[in-house]
Amino acid sequence: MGLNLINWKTQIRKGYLELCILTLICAHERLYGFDILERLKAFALDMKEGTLYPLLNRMTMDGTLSAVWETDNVKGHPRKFYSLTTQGAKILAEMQDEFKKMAAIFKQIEK
Amino acid sequence: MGTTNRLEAYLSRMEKLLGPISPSEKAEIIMEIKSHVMDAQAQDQSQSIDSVLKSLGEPEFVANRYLLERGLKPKKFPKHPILKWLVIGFLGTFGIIVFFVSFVIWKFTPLVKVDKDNKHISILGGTIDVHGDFDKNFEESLDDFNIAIHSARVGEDEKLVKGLAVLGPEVTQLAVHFSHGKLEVKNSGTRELSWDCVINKDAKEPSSTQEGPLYTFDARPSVGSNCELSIPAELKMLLEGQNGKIEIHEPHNAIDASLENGKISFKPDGAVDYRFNTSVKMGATDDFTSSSNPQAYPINLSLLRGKIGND
Repeated sequence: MGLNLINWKTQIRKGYLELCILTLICAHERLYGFDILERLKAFALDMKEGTLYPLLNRMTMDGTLSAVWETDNVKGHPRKFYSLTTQGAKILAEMQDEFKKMAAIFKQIEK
Repeated sequence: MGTTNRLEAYLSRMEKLLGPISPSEKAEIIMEIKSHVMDAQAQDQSQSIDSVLKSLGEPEFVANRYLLERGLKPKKFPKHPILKWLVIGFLGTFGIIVFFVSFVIWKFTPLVKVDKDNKHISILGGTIDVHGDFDKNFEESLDDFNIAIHSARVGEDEKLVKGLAVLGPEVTQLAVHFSHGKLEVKNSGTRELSWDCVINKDAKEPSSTQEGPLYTFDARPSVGSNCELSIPAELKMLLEGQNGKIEIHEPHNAIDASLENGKISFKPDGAVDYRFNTSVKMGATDDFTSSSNPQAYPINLSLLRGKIGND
């Protein structure tokens, strides 16, 4: 049962984290990878760096996000900024709806 | 390894592991990871590069995540690659040993055969033959044993004939004759002439005679002989055969060699000068470089049909 719980947590976190990432990007219009990680940490949503970047890469390739390289004149090195595409905004809206439904159902089951 | 080197090594490894992804996409991925590392170090300058890279994960892990997210098959990496190569090395060596032992057993069966009635022990399929009185005490009987060690080139219908002669200072010429077979001649570095001939079991053995300054080794009665001769330096040599092969290795002698049919091979000693005169009636001859040194050894090689080679 211990192993199943870990597996369940992994599975549920996967979908939940994607939702949180897209929500964060939507809220701030555009964010770069390291910034996303720091903001997730602030909400106690630790994510392995080596998992985030491949995920952002996939979401860019499937059209959920768009990415632009920018070089900050102060900090110096280039960063890749992500923002939601129109398609991404629709996907996010659906995900948020689904999540709210699931939360409501769970509340009713709990009663 | 400095910070930059460690980071470059990490990124280089990761780039290799991204395999099927296009070069431009790989370049972007590497740039983004590098940007992350710089942000991490800028945020906490006390953090070491190793700590940042550890937080990212092994290059294999990160590369595989990129591949998985694209629906590509991630590479499998052995947990202990060194162990894998050690096992392969051990199995390979073991395999070679097994092959070698199997070959020896097959080639030299029976390994040991004792024939008490005829007082004969045959070892390694007859390669070593021991004849003698086995009942005697070992130290007493050692001299009584005749041990014949057969060369691997001795076939079932053949026998090995060995001989040795110490040539006195009066001997200045050596003549070697054979009819059919092979004659191999090399320098003994001493005044000893020795021979090692494989001849037919029923054939007459070669003979050797001396007449004044001329020493003659005659293998003509041993038709089909295969003789290896070690000859003293400075003797004038006459080598004569009908059919087969004459091989001359790095001589320090004047030589007149003639053969009717076959091949004469001459391998020179790089430290010695020779003056060549080669003649082939029907066939070919390789190039030989003659020296203008008047002290050079004259080498006359004559062949009716065949080839004179410098290998």
